[in-house]
Amino acid sequence: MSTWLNDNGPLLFLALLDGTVTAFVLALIALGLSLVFGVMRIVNVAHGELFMLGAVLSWFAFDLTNDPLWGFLTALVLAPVIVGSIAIFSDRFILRKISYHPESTIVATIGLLYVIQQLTLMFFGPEVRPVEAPFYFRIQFPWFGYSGYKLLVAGMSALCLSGVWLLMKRSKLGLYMRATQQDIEIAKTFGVPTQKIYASVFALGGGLAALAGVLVVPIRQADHLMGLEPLLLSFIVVIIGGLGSIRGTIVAAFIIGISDGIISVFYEPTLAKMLATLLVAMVLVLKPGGLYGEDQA
Amino acid sequence: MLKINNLSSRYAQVKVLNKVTLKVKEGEILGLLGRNGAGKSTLLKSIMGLVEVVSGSISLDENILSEQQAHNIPKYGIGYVPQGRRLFPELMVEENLKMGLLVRDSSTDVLDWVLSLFPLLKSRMKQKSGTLSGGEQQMVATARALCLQPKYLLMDEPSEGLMPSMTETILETVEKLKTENVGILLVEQKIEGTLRVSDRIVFMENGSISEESDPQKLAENPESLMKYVGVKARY
Ligand SMILES: Nc1ncnc2c1ncn2[C@@H]1O[C@H](COP(=O)(O)OP(=O)(O)O)[C@@H](O)[C@H]1O
Ligand SMILES: [Mg+2]
Repeated sequence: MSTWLNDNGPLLFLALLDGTVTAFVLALIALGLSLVFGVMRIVNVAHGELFMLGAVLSWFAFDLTNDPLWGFLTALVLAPVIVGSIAIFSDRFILRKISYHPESTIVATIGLLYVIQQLTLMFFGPEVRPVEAPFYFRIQFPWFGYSGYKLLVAGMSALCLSGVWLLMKRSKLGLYMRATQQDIEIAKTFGVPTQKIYASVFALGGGLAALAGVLVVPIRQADHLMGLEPLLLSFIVVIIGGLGSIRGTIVAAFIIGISDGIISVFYEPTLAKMLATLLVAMVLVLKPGGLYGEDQA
Repeated sequence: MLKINNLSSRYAQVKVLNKVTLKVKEGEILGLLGRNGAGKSTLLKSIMGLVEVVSGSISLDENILSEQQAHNIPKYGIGYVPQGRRLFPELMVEENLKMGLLVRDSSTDVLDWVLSLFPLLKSRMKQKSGTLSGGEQQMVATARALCLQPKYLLMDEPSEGLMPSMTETILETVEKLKTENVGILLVEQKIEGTLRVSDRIVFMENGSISEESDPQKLAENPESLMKYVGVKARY
């Protein structure tokens, strides 16, 4: 054991670092999906495309300003705002029109997925575009140097997650979101403008995905197809964590992120995905509500 | 005055209320009796804007509530205690009450007043409301509605499934509220208590008001009770 650690310790450490970064970003994306499902009871299949839009908008900002730092800062503000507005528009003119009917919204958001994807292809082209990180420094560990930007991504994601937690737990808007989630009819009889709450939740969910896109793009580049994998991983996280639970989402993102990091480093990425899928199957059989069910804490 | 004028309303395709006319004055307790399925809950939901109004109107003083969106209705001072309590089960008691306080930006004095009516809740504030006993949940449901300082309170079978002592507490609360000039529309199945606290009684049948009476008359002349709710009140 100790010789194994001596040989593989640094590699394990690297895997844990990578896994942590993945976990935080994944938690951000999945939290958006989970909030939307929790409060609005709809499965947003287009969620990954909102992440992709964040990444692509970040590339535009980089291309426009021609400066990695300014581009990054611009995208950090603009991408969530633009994507949030698209979400509000979709809520108003698509989801509300079909009365948030569970099955219809799945079909409608699949439609939305293709519209966003094809429009991006038209304007952006099929190329895979790299975006420079806003700054470059390496943190030197005894065994290897590690990207400072990646650690910043983890830190900023953690900050956003805490922000959402505070919003949900401490603010009037968050209280109204939780009340709407638990009983929309009674929420109305206590003055909650539930229509606006729905729009806010959908915008918040989209904004989180977009933010994750902006953060991730310097690590993994931008293209119009990049929304699929995070969508699938978010589904996995949300199923394992329990739909609508913030705590469950974060715990599940860590299970998936860290195990993905370790298995990818020591074995291969495909195996990590296979095991994640197996884990979902197991959770569905043993605890169909997910680890944290509907406690939405 | 809370006025319901010739109100007809429906769920999707099903018409439930048929030309209901009713008034509740400030400080008045109106008991609404009728068998299961008569449309009592639908009437209260219609007032709260939760059911589609087909014709007729609902007004409070000079404001026409039936033209308002549901979420604006409580802001006029209408508190709703729904059938089956329907607390926000994952919210703490404190947060459920906060939902009431926020409707009309009530001050903490209001919360103090409400807690003085239900002192037991003081020790339950941090508890998830879904984990409370039935009686405690009913207290929270009533307290939540009182937190918006209602001019009118709509109570839908508040004593359903409760022990007699809890029912008594609720009736006492209703009587206290009357002295504070709150108008109460009380839907009940428990006849005796309702007759005791109400100023007037109306009977509902098949979505319409079929008779209006008062407790005095009903005591002397209990046939209506037999006819509309199928029980004999004992005195
Ligand atoms: N959500 C609903 N959709 C369709 N019909 C309903 C709904 N709720 C109640 N009803 C019908 O409306 C009628 C009146 O119900 P309700 O107002 O609940 O009666 P009560 O409260 O007097 O027992 C019943 O026939 C019931 O089946
Ligand atoms: Mg009823």
